[in-house]
Amino acid sequence: MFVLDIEIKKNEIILNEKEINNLDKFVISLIKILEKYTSYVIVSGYLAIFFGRTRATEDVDVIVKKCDLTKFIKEIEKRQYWVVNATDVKGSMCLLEKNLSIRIARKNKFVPNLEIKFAKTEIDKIALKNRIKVIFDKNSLYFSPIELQIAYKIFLGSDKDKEDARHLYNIFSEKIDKKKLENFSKMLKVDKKLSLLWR
Amino acid sequence: MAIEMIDIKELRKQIRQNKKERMKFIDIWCEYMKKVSNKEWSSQQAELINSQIKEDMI
Repeated sequence: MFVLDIEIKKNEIILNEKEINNLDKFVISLIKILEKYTSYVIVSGYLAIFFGRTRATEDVDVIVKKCDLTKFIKEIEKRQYWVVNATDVKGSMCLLEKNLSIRIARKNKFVPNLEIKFAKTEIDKIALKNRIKVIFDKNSLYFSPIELQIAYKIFLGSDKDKEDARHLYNIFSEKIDKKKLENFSKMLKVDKKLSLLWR
Repeated sequence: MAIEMIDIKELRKQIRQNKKERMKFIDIWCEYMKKVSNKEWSSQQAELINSQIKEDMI
């Protein structure tokens, strides 16, 4: 049986020699700024894409611990990014306070964008608390636990989400904690739908 | 213009089949990813992503 060249430790995944694509570069550069101000976790579609899914995306979902992001927003503006869906810093913070997201893109561009929101739901908080450090050559990013993302993708339920779940399961099937996957699936009431992961 | 009758049942069958084939492709691609180096699969993936997300967008 073949397995992906990946190393999994307790709270770490090591993936070396991955060619860094433009979406990765975008995420790495913005996260480097974000992590100076708050703790974060990347969730949803970008996880599947990072680990090889053959599709792009217009947005990368990031959950952050609730805090004042004024200085972060000022810094990204200084570095030629902008908040697509707010006119100024105050407006951005207002959206976040209302538990809505802000979308950050390169100045005068709309896609790709980093969609940032405060941790609100129990799932958001679990993802942030149990985040996994993914190390790839000289870079690192924090991702949601794979088991949680597989269950969450099944919960979301669109064709694209089911395909992402299947991809992640295929890639990590020999390495993930099956009990954890079962528990997250029960939490999200999708345990009876897990069969879509099996071939 | 004459309106052609569409066989909805046939169309739905085709959509179901297409969903199955997409899942099958994911299985085949993942098998491939496991057989080759990370550099190999990720460079193919990068070609696809970089064709949609250009340097000036990041």
